[in-house]
Amino acid sequence: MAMTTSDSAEGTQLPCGRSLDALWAGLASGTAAEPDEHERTCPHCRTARDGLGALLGAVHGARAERDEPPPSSLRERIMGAVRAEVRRGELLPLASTPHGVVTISAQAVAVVVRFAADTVPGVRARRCAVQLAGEPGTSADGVLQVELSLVVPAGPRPIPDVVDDVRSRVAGAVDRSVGARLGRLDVVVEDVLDAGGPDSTGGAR
Amino acid sequence: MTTLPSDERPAVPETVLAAIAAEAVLAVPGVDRLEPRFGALLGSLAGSAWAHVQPGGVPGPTAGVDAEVQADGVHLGIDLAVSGRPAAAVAVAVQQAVADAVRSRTGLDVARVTVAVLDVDPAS
Repeated sequence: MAMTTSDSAEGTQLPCGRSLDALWAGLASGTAAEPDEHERTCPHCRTARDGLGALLGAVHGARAERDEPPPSSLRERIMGAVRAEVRRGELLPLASTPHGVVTISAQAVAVVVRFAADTVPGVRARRCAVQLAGEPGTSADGVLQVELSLVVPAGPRPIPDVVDDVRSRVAGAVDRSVGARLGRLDVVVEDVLDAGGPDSTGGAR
Repeated sequence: MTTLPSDERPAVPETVLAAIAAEAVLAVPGVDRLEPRFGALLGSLAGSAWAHVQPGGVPGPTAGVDAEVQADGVHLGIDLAVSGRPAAAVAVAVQQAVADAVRSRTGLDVARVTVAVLDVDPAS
């Protein structure tokens, strides 16, 4: 089912669309020791590369010392830590209390948005950018502004109706899962997909 | 409000404060897990600490909590993942739960509890 596909793909995908697994494979095997042009300028890829590189170095050092392969769970822990590190890069203020500020990862919100859009039959979410609707530290905290690109199903439903459905699902999910208000949702329809056409695997290509 | 005299070491080590906070965080409904700090994992992998990386092991119970004793009280930073409830409400509840737990169990003032939600289960 489409939902599970995009959900699992999301787990290892960076906000720019690159795969964390591919980055790891390239670094671990030495085939991608040098960053390519995109990776040199993309902040997400740079964070991930630096993190994976540092952890790989630590693993190699430890392996040489102990002469044993790393446990398989280690890979998951490393991927989890690097994913979390990337997500720490873009935190949006959700609320401010006497105890301090509460923030949420923009990427975590994007996952919620894309998942909600995918629940509309035939719709496939592609790129999603989330930011605060106003200046941080003002009443705009907790009000989000989202830009979302979509693939919509080919007729007979009018595209505006489909987009309206997406809008209400996304607003509902942001309220329910994030506890924030969707101040603005800009939708870009990128493509129309034939019903019964080839199954899209979702995500960026 | 009480403050420690400057020549007195904090009676409670920061690792213990982090453990108390972590226990309180995980008891809040809607908290799925703590998100371990990258640096903590890197540290655990370095050199002879390799022995502590067990097959099938999970990050230490305090990974994801940062505790610091400063002049105005305890500062806590918490990174977590939320599931099944609105992230904002869960995070605010975590702030209160952590402040209460640390204050009641150590007697130290809690100056600040910041919470970052790094993951939200989209299917909930």
